[in-house]
Amino acid sequence: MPEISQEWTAELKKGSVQLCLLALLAREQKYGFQILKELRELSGGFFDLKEGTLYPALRRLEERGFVESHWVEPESGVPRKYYRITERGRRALTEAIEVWDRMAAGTRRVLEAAR
Amino acid sequence: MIPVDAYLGQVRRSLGGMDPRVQEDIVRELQSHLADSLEANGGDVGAATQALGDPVAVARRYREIYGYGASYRRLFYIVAGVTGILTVPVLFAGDEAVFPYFISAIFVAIEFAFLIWVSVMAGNRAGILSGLSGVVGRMAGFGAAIVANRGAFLIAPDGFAAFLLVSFLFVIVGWLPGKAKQAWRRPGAEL
Repeated sequence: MPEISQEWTAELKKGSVQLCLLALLAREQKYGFQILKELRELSGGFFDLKEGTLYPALRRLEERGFVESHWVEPESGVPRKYYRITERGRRALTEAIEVWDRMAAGTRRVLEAAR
Repeated sequence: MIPVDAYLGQVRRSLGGMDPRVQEDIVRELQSHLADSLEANGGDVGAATQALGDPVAVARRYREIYGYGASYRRLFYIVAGVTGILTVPVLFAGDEAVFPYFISAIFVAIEFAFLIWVSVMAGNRAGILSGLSGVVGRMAGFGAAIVANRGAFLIAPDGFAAFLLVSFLFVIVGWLPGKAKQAWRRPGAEL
């Protein structure tokens, strides 16, 4: 049985999932199912989001003005709602990556001292 | 196993009271997701709906973002305002008090309960506005009593202080529960 609590891991994920969502949208617009799949694959399964939590998370980002969405109706197939990052979202992503890098570098130095 | 239509129907029902355009957009997006999910998993409806999660819980997450729609919020303000009128203990018809204290006290309790519900369910902003609407209702009721009973002694100074205090509490009760819920149920740190 692991010594660390599941809550700690869940908090780590919760704190970083929005950063990952913005990062995934940095290059191109994407729809929900695509985001879910890429998040799962790129994170090696670490971010195996419950599907029902992804869309509210995207909408929270939209409410903050970090992403915007629009429907794309193909001639055949399923209509899909695409999300794309806004300028504000891009600035937030840059700031968040800086904080993340500092945190990761700081944590790494502390952990290396313990090895 | 819940069929897709039944699943989406449950989500839609649980979104009741939200802005209809937002409801439609949410259901349409979930429908689109389920179509993609079914295509990816070979048509296993049970697995697709299970992966999305309990429809009521899914709807609750959206409710936390969008709250109630404008028409429902207006209805809350009207109910709070009308109940506010009924909380005034000084309404007279001739020499008879038609709203003695104990009846108005019942309406004060109903108003408090309603404001707590609005604040928790629709957010502290809707709660504050409902509380203010209750205050306006009380003032209107009191004003009507003064106009209808010119020259009569309607309320003692202590009674007037209590009147203002209860009115002030309407706004506080409209604000506090929603604010407390927001603080306790705040989603994890956001960007």
